[in-house]
Amino acid sequence: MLAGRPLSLPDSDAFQAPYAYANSPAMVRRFPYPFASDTYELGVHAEQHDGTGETEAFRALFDIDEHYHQELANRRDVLARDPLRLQVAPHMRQAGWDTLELVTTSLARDFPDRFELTRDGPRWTWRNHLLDAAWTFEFGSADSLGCDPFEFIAWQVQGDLVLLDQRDDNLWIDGGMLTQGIGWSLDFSLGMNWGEWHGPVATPRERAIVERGLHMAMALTVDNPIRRVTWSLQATPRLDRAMETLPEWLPEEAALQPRDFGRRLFLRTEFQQLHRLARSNAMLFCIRHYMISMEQLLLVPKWARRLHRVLATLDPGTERYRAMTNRQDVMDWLAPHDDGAPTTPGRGPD
Amino acid sequence: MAISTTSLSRPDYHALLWKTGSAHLLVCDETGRETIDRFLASAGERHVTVLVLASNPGKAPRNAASLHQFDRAFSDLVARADMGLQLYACGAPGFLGRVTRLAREAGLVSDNIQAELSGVPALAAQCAHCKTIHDPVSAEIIWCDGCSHWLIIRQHYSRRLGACQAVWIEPTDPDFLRLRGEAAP
Repeated sequence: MLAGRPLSLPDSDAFQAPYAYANSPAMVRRFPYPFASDTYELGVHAEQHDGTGETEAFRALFDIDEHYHQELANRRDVLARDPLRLQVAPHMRQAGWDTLELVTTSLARDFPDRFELTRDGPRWTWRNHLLDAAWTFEFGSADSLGCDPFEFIAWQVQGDLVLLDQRDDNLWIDGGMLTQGIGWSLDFSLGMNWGEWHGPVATPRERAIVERGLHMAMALTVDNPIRRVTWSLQATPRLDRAMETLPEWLPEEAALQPRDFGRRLFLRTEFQQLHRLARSNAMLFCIRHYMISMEQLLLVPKWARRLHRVLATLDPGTERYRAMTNRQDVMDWLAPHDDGAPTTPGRGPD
Repeated sequence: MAISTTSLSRPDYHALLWKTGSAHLLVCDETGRETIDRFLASAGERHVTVLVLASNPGKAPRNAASLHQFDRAFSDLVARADMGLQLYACGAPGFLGRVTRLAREAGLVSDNIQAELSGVPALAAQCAHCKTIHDPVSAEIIWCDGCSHWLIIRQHYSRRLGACQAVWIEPTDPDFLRLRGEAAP
């Protein structure tokens, strides 16, 4: 057992079949709904990640919610089956310390009742009350920490972290912990530059967005992170939809019947963030996921109404459109919940 | 949902062309030897170094090297070179993937690397699920003995692994029938 790995986690895994995932009513209200209007346009959709936003999930730099322990238990299980989901190139060690600093200081500031950081010169004490654990170490010394700094802190947040090195006028995937990826593989992508990584993105319009995203990312400065909220629909609350496990999760999609949409079809928000790291000048790419069942989406009538309209007007030229085989069924299911009333601007609930 | 098979990450192999540079490094494996010899004949006054990876070091010419020696010699040459070094590589896909990766690790930028494919136009592929490397692959659908799945080859290519990505496809998938021209056994 590595020093950074949490010990006290649930045995069960709510994000694997037979699935035991559900949101509390409070969790529904804080959901980062992805659509600001009734139509979804392809685009970079980047905005400042500055502590503001329509729901609570937008407001912390690294958001922590009621699924914390379950997500960490899922990560433990995915990594136990496939250790290649965690890889960091040796030259990214400093970026790992940058990440540890950014995450610990942010968590301690945004959730002071759950996390505490005490800094006495290079001697740091990090308390994670959610895990009932504390570590004292010398900042910059992996020996004193007992493990790699990136691994240490990536374990303690919800969502995946990926390290991008900036050189040769490009960004390179040189490390990460990816247990919640959708349709891609960290192991396969490791060492790729931005263009190669997005190689499967095919249409000219989408390529232009990829290119613009790269320039926006490379221009980022420290303490000015950006975020981008994207989305998908899926047949189970499975977090791990990496390319490695495709034979496990793809058949679940085909098996879903419209009569089960209420409980089993989920709108998934992929909440992406990019941070410039202070010492290494590398980038930290965070990918945090939130899921809400159709049944729970109905609790906020505006959100259900709007999803129906977004699907009806989705641009057929997008990858997302082509990947959705049951779009019409989902629209039919949502139609009775769209009374044609106008929706208020922005992503928040009414 | 469907997984797209096209990708722009597949390497850009093309016939070698002299580019402006302070020094020129030509590398090949046995399959790329003829091409490199022909190319070398047009070098003119350029400052050229040639490095050959021989499959049989005992019988190979003076500048040939075993794989390990090759890697070291190659990395040394690139690391010691001036900024203006141009690299020209010719060989099998695995060889090209290897030298471009080593070159980039030693600090050479993509603009200064050219690669020409020799021999059979087939790439290696890695099973995305059990990580078995299939080398070479010449069909678009293959059977993976490692995890007992049918796989479709995506054009998505990793220079680090020197392989395309191969992902699970169901024998009932329309693409399966189209690409194999027959039903699964």
